[in-house]
Amino acid sequence: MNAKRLLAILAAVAMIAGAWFVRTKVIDKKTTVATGGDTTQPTNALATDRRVVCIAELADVCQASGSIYTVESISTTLATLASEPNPDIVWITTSPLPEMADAARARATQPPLPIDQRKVLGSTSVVIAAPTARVAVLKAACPDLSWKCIGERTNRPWKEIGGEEGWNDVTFRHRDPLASAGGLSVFGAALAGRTVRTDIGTGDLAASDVRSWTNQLENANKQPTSDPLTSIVVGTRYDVVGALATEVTSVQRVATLEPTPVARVGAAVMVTSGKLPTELVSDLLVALGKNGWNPAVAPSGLPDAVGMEAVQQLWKQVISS
Amino acid sequence: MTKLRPALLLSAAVLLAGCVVSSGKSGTGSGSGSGNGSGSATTFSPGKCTGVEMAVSSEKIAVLTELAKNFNDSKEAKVGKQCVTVHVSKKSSGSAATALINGWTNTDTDGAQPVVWSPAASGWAGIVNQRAGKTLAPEGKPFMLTPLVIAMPAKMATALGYPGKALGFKDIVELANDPQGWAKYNHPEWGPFRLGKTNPNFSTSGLNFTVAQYYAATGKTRDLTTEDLDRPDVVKFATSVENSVVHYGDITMTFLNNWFAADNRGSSLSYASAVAVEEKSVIDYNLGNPDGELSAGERPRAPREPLVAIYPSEGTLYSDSPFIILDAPWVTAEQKQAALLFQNYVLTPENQAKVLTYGFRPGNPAVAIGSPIEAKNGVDPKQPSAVLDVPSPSVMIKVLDSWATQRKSARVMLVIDVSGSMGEAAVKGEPETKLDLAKRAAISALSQFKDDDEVGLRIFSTGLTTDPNVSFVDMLPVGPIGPQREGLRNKIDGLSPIQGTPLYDVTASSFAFMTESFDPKKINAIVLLTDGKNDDGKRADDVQQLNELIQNLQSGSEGGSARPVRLFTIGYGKDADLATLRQLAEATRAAAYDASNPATIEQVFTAVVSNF
Repeated sequence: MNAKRLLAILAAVAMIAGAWFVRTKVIDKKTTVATGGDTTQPTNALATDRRVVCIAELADVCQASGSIYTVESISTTLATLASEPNPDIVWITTSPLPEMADAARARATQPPLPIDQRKVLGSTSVVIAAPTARVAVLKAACPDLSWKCIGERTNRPWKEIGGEEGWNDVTFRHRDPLASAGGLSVFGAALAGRTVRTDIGTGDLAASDVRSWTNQLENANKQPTSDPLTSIVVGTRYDVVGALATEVTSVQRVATLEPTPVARVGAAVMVTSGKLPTELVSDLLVALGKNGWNPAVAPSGLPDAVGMEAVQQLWKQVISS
Repeated sequence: MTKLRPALLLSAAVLLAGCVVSSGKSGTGSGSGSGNGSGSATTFSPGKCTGVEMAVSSEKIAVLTELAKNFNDSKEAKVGKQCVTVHVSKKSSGSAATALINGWTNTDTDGAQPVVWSPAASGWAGIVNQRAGKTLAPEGKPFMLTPLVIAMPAKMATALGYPGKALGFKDIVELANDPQGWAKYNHPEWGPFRLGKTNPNFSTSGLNFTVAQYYAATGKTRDLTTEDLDRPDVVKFATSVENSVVHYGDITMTFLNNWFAADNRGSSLSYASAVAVEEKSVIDYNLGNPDGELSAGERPRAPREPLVAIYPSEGTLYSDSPFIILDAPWVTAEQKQAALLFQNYVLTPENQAKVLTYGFRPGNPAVAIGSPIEAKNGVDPKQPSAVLDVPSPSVMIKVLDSWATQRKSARVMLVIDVSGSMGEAAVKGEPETKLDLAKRAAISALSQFKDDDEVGLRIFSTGLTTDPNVSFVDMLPVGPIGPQREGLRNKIDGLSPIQGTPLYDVTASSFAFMTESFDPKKINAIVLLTDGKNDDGKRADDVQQLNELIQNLQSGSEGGSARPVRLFTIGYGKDADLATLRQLAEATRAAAYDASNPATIEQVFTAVVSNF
């Protein structure tokens, strides 16, 4: 074996050893993977061993904040928080999901979570996005922009309200309210708008006029695509899509409208034990600003935690019919 | 060995190093997702502890779940060094009694074999022991009490002079038999007097009400005998009470939820005039939680028309919630000892105070009655002024047998889905189809109808005939079941799966038929069994069709002069459209039943038929 070959072997061993070191000492320590979730970024400002969980709608914010995080569906996180007696989680989410976790824990007779260790850090609104020409038609058909009016126009031909024949029916879509915070916000805002109350319960949503309206609104949404906004971007299906305003800012070729009453959604952070790290809060505030979130305001136009649970119950009935 | 070139070796090393790093990045570790984690596991596993399974009647599931949880976490949950874990399951008193009499062998449908049984009232223990021929259920320690009352909307009770005038069963019978109905009290808009009552074979309030009406008929308050029940005047009185019944039900919660839903729509006064329930249920209803159990998204909201509890002037019975440690073959000595610990825990003054917060009167007399048992919730802590004795087990059995012949007759159309999917295996890999199980359950349920009940059979599917517009066929017209019981059995047995599921069509046409041929002297109902969603080949009009159907069902069922035909639905198999079936049933103020596990269909059919 000549010297060159020996050096090459040594270099190769060194590279493999180096790579192993990087993996075991750097990445494994800082990376978590959730079922169905995304991998995280290995730069961290959060001095904690707690698992940091982000909703998909705030993944960019979590990334920008430098946190090591896991993206999880809200159903997974809510189930964890309801079933584990002493969970150790930082949850970066939207209101009122922390309070929904409280309600689920109470039903499961689990000890309460600390309510003073959570904060609302930013806000955005619920919007409807559609190709620009269709937004104009919808605005003309529903000058008050009320959810009631918008719902009554869905599942009917665009032509009836001044659209083109080739547009077919007004089809409304949003993400799955059981899995997505954005989807829950949209469906919740729609029902709060339709019932003209934010303290809704299953009893209110059982009213036949509300059920009929919901059936009409959601007829196209019973088999939701994973990302309805993408369907607009790629142009395969020009639906009317409900989303958070922060999600739509970068989407091309669409316009938005804010149905009334305008629903303000809060970006929230909570810890399930110990103190809320101030450094994380600061980082998140900066990241929220960079990602189009407005300063925190009191949530409005959205059901509270019990109301959102009622909204999820109704959704289960909608998709099974 | 082939000599490797240095450059190649380095390249391989780079690749391998990259693989090591990337495998770390994309990691396939078990992750930290929690899986389902819903905490709703149906199988109880006590781990290394001594497990105490407890079957309780539905009205006390919330309080006992809380107490069991606290007990399990406490230092009291130990026999010596051995830990104890209590698990509580809901089971109606009547169905638990039946399961016990039959040896509690079918754990798939009945749940785990219990160590402790707490029916709503001690009377059930006597029935079990009498029917089993041995003492399976020894005397239990009552740990919380609630009297049977007649719940009435406050407006209706006021119209009758309550609370200034004492009311009893005799007043109810008189009002029920008066053709003027509420018009006699200047309220023709409320229609006839409508009594809601549960089936005494399943429900304690139904059982206690039936016992109390026999006491009222005899004028006795104790020592009811089997001979008393055969007296013509007693039979006449009991039959009069039964004739005023809207429909029966397996549990009072069905009535209370329907009543509350009607109240939401502003029509509670025309749904029922009075329902026999426990005092605790009146409190729950007035606090906006009609079934006493808040589920996800349910928001307690006071009803528009609150109820008041009428304590019958003739006297009433208590549901005493006995804590019965079973003497069954599957119960070990260790489990009995562990169960006794939990019983003592439940009876401590601290926990008895908790029982009170759920609307029950404490079983421990050291704990005083207080809120929420108070006038503002429609109840009177000073009542009842007269208490009736629980009859002997043999009289209890006779009460049930007599009721079976005196209960209000029914007029029922069985509507059975014979679409192609009913031909699928009920359990994967097993030869029996869903239709096979449904047929067996329906045939078994026929025995619950008495001879003068009228029953018909309608099947539905697309492709039944060469005419594409035909979506159903009447196999047997609605008529007295006595002479055609065998024919009906054969017709059901001969059914076979065909094609699509025109659910909305057949519902609309069946409802129209039963409404047109309505018989006010009977309970008029449809039992609709289906395993699928509406599939009539015209999907575009489904939403409109459903909305119109619901409006039609509602308008036909509401109002003082309505001809109430109740639509009871059974969602059968995992593909059944339970949400829609619930909407359809609720539109007629009936109930939807879930048989998504095909193995439960026989039990579900029995529960459905208990409404008649």
